[in-house]
Amino acid sequence: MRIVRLWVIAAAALTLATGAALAAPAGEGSAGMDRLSGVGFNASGLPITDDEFTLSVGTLSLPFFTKELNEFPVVQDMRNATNLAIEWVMIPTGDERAQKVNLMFAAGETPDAFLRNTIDANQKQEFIDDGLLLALDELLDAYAPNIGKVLEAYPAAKFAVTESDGKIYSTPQVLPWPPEFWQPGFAVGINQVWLDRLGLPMPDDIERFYETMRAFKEQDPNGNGEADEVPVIFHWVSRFSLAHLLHPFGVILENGGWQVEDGTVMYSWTHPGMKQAAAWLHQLYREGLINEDAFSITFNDQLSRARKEPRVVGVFNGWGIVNIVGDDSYLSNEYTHLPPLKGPDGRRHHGAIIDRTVGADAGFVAADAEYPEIAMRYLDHLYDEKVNIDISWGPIDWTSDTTFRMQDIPPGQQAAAFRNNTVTPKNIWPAAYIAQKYTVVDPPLGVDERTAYGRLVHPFTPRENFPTGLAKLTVDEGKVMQQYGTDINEFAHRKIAEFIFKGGVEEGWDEYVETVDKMGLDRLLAVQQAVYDRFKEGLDGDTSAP
Amino acid sequence: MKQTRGDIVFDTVNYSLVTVALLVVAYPLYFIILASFSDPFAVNRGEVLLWPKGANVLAYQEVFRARQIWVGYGNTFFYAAVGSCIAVAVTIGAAFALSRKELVGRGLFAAGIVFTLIFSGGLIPLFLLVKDLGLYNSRLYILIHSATTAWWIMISRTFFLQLPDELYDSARIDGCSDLQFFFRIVLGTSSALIAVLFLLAIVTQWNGYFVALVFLQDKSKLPLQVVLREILVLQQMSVSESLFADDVESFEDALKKAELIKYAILVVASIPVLIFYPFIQRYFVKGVMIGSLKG
Repeated sequence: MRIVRLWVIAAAALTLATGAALAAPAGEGSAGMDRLSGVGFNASGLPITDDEFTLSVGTLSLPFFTKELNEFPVVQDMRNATNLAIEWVMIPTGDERAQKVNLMFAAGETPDAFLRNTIDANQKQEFIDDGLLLALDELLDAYAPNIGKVLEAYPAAKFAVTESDGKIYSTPQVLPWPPEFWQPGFAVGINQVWLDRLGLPMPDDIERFYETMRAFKEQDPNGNGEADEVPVIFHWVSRFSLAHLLHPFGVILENGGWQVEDGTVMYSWTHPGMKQAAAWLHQLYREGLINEDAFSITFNDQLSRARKEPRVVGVFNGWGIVNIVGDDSYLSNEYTHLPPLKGPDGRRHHGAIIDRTVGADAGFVAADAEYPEIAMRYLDHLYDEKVNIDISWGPIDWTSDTTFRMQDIPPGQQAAAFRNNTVTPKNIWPAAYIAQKYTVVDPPLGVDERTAYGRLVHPFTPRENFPTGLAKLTVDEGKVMQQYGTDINEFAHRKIAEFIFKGGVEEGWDEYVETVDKMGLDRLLAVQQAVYDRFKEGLDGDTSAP
Repeated sequence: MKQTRGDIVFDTVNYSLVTVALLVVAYPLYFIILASFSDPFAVNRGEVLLWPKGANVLAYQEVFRARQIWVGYGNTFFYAAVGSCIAVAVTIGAAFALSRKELVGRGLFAAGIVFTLIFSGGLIPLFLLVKDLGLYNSRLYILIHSATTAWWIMISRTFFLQLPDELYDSARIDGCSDLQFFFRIVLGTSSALIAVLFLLAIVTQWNGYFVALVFLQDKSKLPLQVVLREILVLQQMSVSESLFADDVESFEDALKKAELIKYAILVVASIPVLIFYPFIQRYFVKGVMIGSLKG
């Protein structure tokens, strides 16, 4: 008797529990509504909750803020509008970031939601497998009209947020500015004043480039009587820094070492062009046309030298001339963009990054959030067009319904730094306003420059591009990439550095390629080919730069 | 006293060696101060050697403007001051008890403490424990996580073992209780030990960042070292590794800023230690012998 009764109770409890669990995400069943109405939750409109509600949100900790996050005007505005008080959970930068996030999930001590730059792609996959991140599909339908608009306007963003199991676990990201702004990895600047002084034309192919660099080196273009000129400067640490010197040979490093030719994914570091490139670069290096310490300097070292007066640097690369040497240098044409050089095959190439403008991982909801609906509505609020413009650019002045002007910054302050640290902590929010719909009046000079460079190189970008940032790996694929990828990349980077630095590419190349093959490159290529094929299908076969 | 020729030669050689040693030690310190007042890009190019170049106080302006640095500063002071008091009290109490032969089972306690030198539970169990104790994101945990270490207890115990038993016996005869003996006689004869323990505890708190990174979540509770670390990490990240890969512009801006204030922060962060050190230094000579076994 007693046993039977227990069973009945257990079964009833189970039914109730499942019912509640099923109903809760959609916010329908009575249990779900009670729970939500208890905190004064509104399914649409503002405020999100009638009474003040405290939501915890994980965000990346950045050191230069001039005030607490809750003191930023944009954050206070959102608080007033939504009635949500945010308890910020800081997540450290650097190696400890992953560790801290892992610990929080392992201990069940997670914030309700996470913002951008807190959970990386590898971790995301693990957490999804362990059921620690909430699938957002139903919540998105029920509570996220703004995010829905973004996903509708950008099919690539929809593709980016859809994981290999077909569900959505993160919110999308659509960066402002035209696509041309984002596509080139780094822009290349060349010293126009030196060219004029030496009466040289803009170099057009690698031969002319080499001769121009020799002239920079030998003819004292800065006129100080010292041979202190560094014709080409770069620093060997990022996927962009060497890229412009490899482009003439058809090697595209911008997408993390993967490129596509005729539908086939290739590993850029063993691309046949790399052999020629290494030989050419070794010649430049041997003749002192590249800074001797290219393999050890940092971005800041490069920056310091590029800014030296009188100028000592002929050609550099970076985010832009404005960012490296400053506004004046760009405006006065002291440095201008170096157009892509013709390579040995007589063609020009330039890399394009197609995963920049759209992406995923801008916001997450933890599986054990008590009120996922509130977290979802909070995230959705960040995607409201006007709100998103505010949090991306700080307080702005509307000049018409679709154009706005950023407020001026105090004199003597660096624009981007001031905005990030004082006006709005731009880096932490999802960027999502619909770029075509709104226009910034007088955008920062750097935007003009990047867009101009993007237009300059766009005709030379590949028709097919590997979508490194958008690639969705299955768990097994991820394992293969981790198991073989790290070692192969490390070995390849070291060998190519050696070829450029010490030479010997003619003799060493075949052995190098063979070793990389032996290390399991074919497995990586198989994975990347599958990834690319899926991506291509998702984008109706067009993977060219838009 | 007349110096022989040998003495003069000896003195000369000696002084020159000491001077060289002084320069080797002092120059890096001087350089940091110099660099904090110079144009960071000139420093980076190696143009600053003896005098500031492009002298300015921009870096200090930035440091004073960055709120997080001052919040961190205040927190570090608090953690170091309160944390070190807790550490000294706990360590000395435990070590004294362990040094008394009357303590029943002291071998067991000592073994238990030494055990922690070799084995620990690992980070995740610790995290779970701290969370279940309700100490996650609590300043209290930062204060007590280094309340003592096995190492400190061991060196203090060895120190107390050197106190002659006769001292205890005679105090007893004069009517001293155990507590009175501890507070009046033991503490009175252990100032060198206490000073050294204070130093160890303060330095531990001053330099500690990992515990704070893992167990705190509010920025308002973080110590200075975490802020310094963030700035350093930022500098070591390359564009492609960084999570800002989609926003290189602000990443580069942050890098420039980090470069600008790096040295000024070092100066600001070191001043308290530099002020504090001379007061404790005289105990140091005695202190370094603490815990060493004397045959």
